[in-house]
Amino acid sequence: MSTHPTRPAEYGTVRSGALIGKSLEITGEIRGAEDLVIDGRMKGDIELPDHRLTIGPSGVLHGKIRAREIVVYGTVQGNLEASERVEIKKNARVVGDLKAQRPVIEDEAYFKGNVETTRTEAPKAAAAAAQPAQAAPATQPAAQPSAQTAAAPAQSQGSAPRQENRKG
Amino acid sequence: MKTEPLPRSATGPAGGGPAAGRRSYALEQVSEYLGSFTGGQVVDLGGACQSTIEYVTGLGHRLYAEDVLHTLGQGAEDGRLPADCLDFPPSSVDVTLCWDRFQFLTEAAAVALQERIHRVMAPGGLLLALFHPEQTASVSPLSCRVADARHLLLASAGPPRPLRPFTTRMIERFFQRYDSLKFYLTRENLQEVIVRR
Repeated sequence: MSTHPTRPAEYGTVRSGALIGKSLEITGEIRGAEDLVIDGRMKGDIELPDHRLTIGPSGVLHGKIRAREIVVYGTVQGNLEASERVEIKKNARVVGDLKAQRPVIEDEAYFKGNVETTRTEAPKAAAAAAQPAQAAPATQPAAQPSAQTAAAPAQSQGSAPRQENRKG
Repeated sequence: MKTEPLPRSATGPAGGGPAAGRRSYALEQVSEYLGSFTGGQVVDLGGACQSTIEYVTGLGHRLYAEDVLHTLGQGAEDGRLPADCLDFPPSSVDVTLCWDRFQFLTEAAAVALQERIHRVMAPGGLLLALFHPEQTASVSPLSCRVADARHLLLASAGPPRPLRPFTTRMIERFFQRYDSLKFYLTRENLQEVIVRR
């Protein structure tokens, strides 16, 4: 592992930090307090709570990541959790769940997994749900759209309901 | 017929032509449903795209993204899905966005996927699917993005592929295990279908 005073512009704004080069393969865990770029292969979890992790285009990681920022150009198999943002760049490949304040997945990136945002403020609908009388379990909403509501689009233009088949 | 202005704020397509934003009444139903609670699970089987992620997570839900055309490809001819495809506990998914993917899968794969969706969806949950016109022999799969609560951005993604035609009757039979079906015919002759589990 080497320390780079500056990183190439293609990796964004990393000014200093460590690099795992293309020819390196590591098995184990990494914890630290500096930015890290992985261009090699790594098997194990990475924890950089206050720093940025970049998986370069040739980087391959099998393991969980927890960092302030995570940027992926290469391949990750494992869950990603960032206190700020996660960016999955074009041509990157990520299989795993993603949790961040600001998740960004570019077009032509391959992603398979769950995306969940963490928030400092409540989501739009949360304010309404916070009122005890209206609170509903996550998977069993209290109010189903009524037949009247469901039929409403029929009066609109653009696309019109052709039929509805209800059973039971 | 009065026309709606197209939304201009949405992002561009994934490698296809210019995105055509248009109003979707099926999406409006999904949006109405998703707005009635938080903390739900939404599944997008067309793959990950930023605008859909922002929309769904902005409502306080989780979004699982997987492109089933990539996962299943030409596989699942024997009617068995990979174990990690839609690997959710039973009755844990609130909304599934299938887009036009059923038509590009083999019959066995489409049936297996439909059955798995039925297993993982919560009762009362909604499935949104699109079906191309019956006479279409091949077409590019659609890249479908949710622009806002009422508008979808559709663009062609990749080269044309042969697709299995679905008549309205076939669609009804395909989803016969579900509680209800509702059809909308769009300007492009796409059928939007809302299926309630």
